[in-house]
Amino acid sequence: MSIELKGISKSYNGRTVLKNLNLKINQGEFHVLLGPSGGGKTTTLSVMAGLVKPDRGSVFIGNKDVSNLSPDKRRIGYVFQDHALFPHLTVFENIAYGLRLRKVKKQEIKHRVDYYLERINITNEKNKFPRHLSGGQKQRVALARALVIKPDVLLMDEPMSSLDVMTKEIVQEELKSIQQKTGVTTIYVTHDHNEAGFLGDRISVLDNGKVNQIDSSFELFQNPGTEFRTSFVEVKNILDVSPVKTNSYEATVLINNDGLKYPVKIRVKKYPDVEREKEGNLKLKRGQV
Amino acid sequence: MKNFFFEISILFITAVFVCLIVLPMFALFTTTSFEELIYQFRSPVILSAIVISLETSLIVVFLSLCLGIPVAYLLAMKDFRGKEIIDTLVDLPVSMPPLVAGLALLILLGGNSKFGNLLSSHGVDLIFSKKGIIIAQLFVSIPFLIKSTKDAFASINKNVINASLTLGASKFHTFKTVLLPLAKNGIYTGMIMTWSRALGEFGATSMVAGCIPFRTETMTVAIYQNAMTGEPAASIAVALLLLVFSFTLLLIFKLRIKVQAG
Repeated sequence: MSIELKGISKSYNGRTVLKNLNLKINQGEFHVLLGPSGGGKTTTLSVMAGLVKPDRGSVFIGNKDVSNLSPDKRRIGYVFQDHALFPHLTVFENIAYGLRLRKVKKQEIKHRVDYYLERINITNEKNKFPRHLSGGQKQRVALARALVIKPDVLLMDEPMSSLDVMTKEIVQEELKSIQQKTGVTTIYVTHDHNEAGFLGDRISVLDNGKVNQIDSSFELFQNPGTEFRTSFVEVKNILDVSPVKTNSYEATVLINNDGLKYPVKIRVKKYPDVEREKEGNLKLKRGQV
Repeated sequence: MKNFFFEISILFITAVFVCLIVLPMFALFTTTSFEELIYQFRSPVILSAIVISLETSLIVVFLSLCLGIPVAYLLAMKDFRGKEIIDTLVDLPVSMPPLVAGLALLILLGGNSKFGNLLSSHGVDLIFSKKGIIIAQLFVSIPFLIKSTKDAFASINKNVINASLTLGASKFHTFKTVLLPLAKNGIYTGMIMTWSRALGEFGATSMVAGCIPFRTETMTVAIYQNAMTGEPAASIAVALLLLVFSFTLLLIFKLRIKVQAG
């Protein structure tokens, strides 16, 4: 199912978190909401899930306006940043929780839970309680619990922020593969641009409660646009430079780097913003040099 | 040298505290004999006081659960105007002298008040009855259950509750299957504290229900009555029984917590 936010605004104690947010995510898409902390990403997911009521605006899942539906009626799966597994239930019971609510037959519950236990490679831990699982295992269980109910939309809020690099890469691969197989529309919140680039079919850059840019991950990293997006999207791959000589097609710039003993001049391919901002320092991506 | 004096001071103060608790109990245990205790516990008046105390205090625990858990849920999970006022009202009976609580209840429920008259006209007489004991005990002891349960609810990760909702559970189902099981230790603690407080209640109970043997005389009232009428042996017997109750309840609770933590 597609999901669409129309004119969503939300404030907490006078502080505006979302400003007239419009966003449409297509059916089957893996969409990443990328942005710094406090940019409104989690609030956007909470509005989609019905956990937070917006001050203005509507939420559509498919063609249905779900703005006034409570979370339990929206047919969504939600994976929380801290996994939020039920501490008093075993792995099996955690995954089966949503199915029992739907009054699925016992045999069918066992079949579906076992399928996901195997799919996420955690069958041996099915009788354990969450406190006995590693971070990666908890993450997989949370994902299985959200997927087993066959949601129309899967929402994931920085689910891998607590994982180490190795585990993160493994779980990312698994997630991508599961999403492609199930075809569930997925909205994934992160502030990690590498993760966003790997997972997202499209990426929305969200800051100050507004979507600054929506593009495919390839386009976004090629043409990040404003300095904010450049600095956020490509923060690890930028050069701080001062223009020396520019024309419409190319510029000669000086790299500002305290670590260099002497100034270095480089030629920049096609960087039209150079002329406009020649007084200030610029950020360049390595690919543009 | 300074460290030595510090350590010694701490040990000395702890010893003073232990004496403060143990010496009065020791005095109770050493001023009577086993035969005397058995004799007193066979007395119909004492037996009746024990039964009344157990009966009323257990009803109070049950009523505290029914009334206290919803209030605790409201205070822990909801933000609303006037929340601080309700929160303070919950604490009030704890800080209020029990005699004042008893007096307030006596005025409200007595025959001279409109409310008391209204109840009387419908055949409900609360003053000088077991029902009065229950109301007095409930008034002073329910805050313990509410506070303990509220803290337990408030300590539950909000995302766990949200997870239940997004998986399709209604708020009531989430309350039943997630909140109550996760708050059970807090609820048990509240129950034990409420029961102890209800068993030990004297001031409010005696004001509302009086001291009528076989009708409204609870264990604490029996201790007072017998001590004042020159029957210290009966007072000591009941006091010892209360002490054993309290100690056993606390011990069971602490062992339970230890087993769960281990």
